[in-house]
Amino acid sequence: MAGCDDPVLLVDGAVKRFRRGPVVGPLWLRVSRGELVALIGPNGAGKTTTMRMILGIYPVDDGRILVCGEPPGRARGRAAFVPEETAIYPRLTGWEHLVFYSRLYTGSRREALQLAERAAGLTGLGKALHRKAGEYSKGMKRRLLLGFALALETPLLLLDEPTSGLDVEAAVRIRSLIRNAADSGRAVLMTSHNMLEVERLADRVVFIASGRVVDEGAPRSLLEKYGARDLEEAFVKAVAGHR
Amino acid sequence: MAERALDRVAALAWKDALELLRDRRSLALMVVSAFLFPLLGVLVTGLQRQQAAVVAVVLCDHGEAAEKLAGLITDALEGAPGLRVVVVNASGCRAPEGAVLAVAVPPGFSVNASSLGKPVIIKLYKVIGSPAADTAEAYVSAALQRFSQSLARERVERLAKLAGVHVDPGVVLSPLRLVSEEVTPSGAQASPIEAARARAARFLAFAVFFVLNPAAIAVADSISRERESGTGELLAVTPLRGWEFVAGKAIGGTVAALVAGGVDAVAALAYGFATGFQGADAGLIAVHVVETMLAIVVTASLTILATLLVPGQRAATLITSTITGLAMMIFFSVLFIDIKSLPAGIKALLYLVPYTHTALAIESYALGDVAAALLHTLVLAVLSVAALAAAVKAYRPDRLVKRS
Repeated sequence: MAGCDDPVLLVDGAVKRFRRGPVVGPLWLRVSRGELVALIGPNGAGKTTTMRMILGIYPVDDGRILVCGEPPGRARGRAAFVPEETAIYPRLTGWEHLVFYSRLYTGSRREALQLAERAAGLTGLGKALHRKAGEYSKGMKRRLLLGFALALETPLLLLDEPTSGLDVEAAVRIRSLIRNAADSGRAVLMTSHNMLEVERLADRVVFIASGRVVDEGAPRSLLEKYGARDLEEAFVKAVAGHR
Repeated sequence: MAERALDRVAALAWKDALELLRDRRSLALMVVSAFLFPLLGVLVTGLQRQQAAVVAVVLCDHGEAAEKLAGLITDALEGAPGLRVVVVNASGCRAPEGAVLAVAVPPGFSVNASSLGKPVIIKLYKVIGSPAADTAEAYVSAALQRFSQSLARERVERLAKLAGVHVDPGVVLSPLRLVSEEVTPSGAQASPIEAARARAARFLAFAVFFVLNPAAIAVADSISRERESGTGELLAVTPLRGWEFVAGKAIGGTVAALVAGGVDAVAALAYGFATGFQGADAGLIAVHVVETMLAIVVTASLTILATLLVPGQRAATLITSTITGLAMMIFFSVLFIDIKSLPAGIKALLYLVPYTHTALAIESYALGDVAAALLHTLVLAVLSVAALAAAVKAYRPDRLVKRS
């Protein structure tokens, strides 16, 4: 990933306060090149807010976030994102989605078509790309968005619950794409509720509760630290010890 | 750099337009709503012809004058849609049951009519809450007016004969002769074409509203759907900047307005052919197009601004209604109120509303006041830019996402 020194993502005491609602942070987090980090926490723990701060959607109230050494607002185009919701335009075909997003990122028709072609290959949707996205299954929608995010070849890839609601076959395919992205040198930060998936897939796990990092480490070291049989048990013990 | 930004604007506008043009239900509704007013007219006229409301002439006098009046009323109502006249000979002189309107000619009517100094009385019974009775009353009043004039003429002729003088009864009865002439605001004589243009301008100014409504709906709907469906979150992380987002959405809204406007134009032409509408020459239509485009930009910008500031689908619908309601109020006022003659305070308030300048620019051009038309266009352009700038300032990536 040219032009991006390690760590690709640095969250340095970042805090987000809402007029109504809980405070998220202060949070500390680092994700390096080739690393796949999973952010784990219950609903309302602050995972989505953290993602949005990293993406520059929410401005940080305290602390700082750097993507490739720059604040998120200036690092647009350095991070690709796949939201939890299968956010598609139902009346556009899959191919039209890819061309539309490609034009937003490249700003030139020729480059956009090249990017869309590359993304089309990564989605693996084949002829289905010429069908309206409103007719797609949840798995196909996720592959469409993930394919585009991968084609962008950004140093940082953010995935919000990438396999939630998918059938086994679709989930396996998506996991393989995510692992390959990390193995090819990208920094990947994902959220998930599926502890088994995280245990197998992630290089490092970050437990988050009530807007703060509770613990972090490689899955195996966390299991050993808490004397747990699985990550679910480790998470429960980590959060209990923090109360 | 600028070329890349413009391509991003074009991409967003293309996406919004494609979504709209593939939304068959919305397109069908646009077509239906454009033809709603002409259809309403056809419906009302058709139903009016189907009704069989009875108008009774109750004759309690059988003299020559009474028979003449009955004849005049019958002639006046002949061919009136949905009205049927019956002449009833009765002694009670009351309205018969079932008639929406009854004209009772009491005993002694003809005797009084043939006298020189006695009043002639007629009684009118009208059923309350009946639109047919209102229509019938208008026809009957016209017949009574004719009868009264003829009676007055006869009396003047008889009086003149008695006095041994020769007079023109028309001059005695109507000594005032009204000679009217249509003039321009500067006082010059207005040609029939100019008068027709002035009437056409008011019609065209009102017609702008029908184009603004779909534009506001399309823009508000597209932004709130981006937010609700999660696509807004994806847009928020792209390199798309605030002004590019606003411009793209405004152009998308313009496409909706042009689709609706095209259908409206067909409907307006159909109406024009049916009613013999005149006065809309090429110049006036060109001015109308310019003013309409500026009004669309203002509407789209105001809608984007409001939709960004107030989240939620329901709020977006309410905002659209408010903005289009404001536009409706102005364009409707132009049909009945001379804005230039209003007190300065009210006028100043109205001048703050961009749509006032849309209507006044079209009207001023039609009346030959090109300088005023240019001034109003300039003010409208400035307000359009201000609305666009406010919308750009209101743009923040977090306003495109649903609060989790």
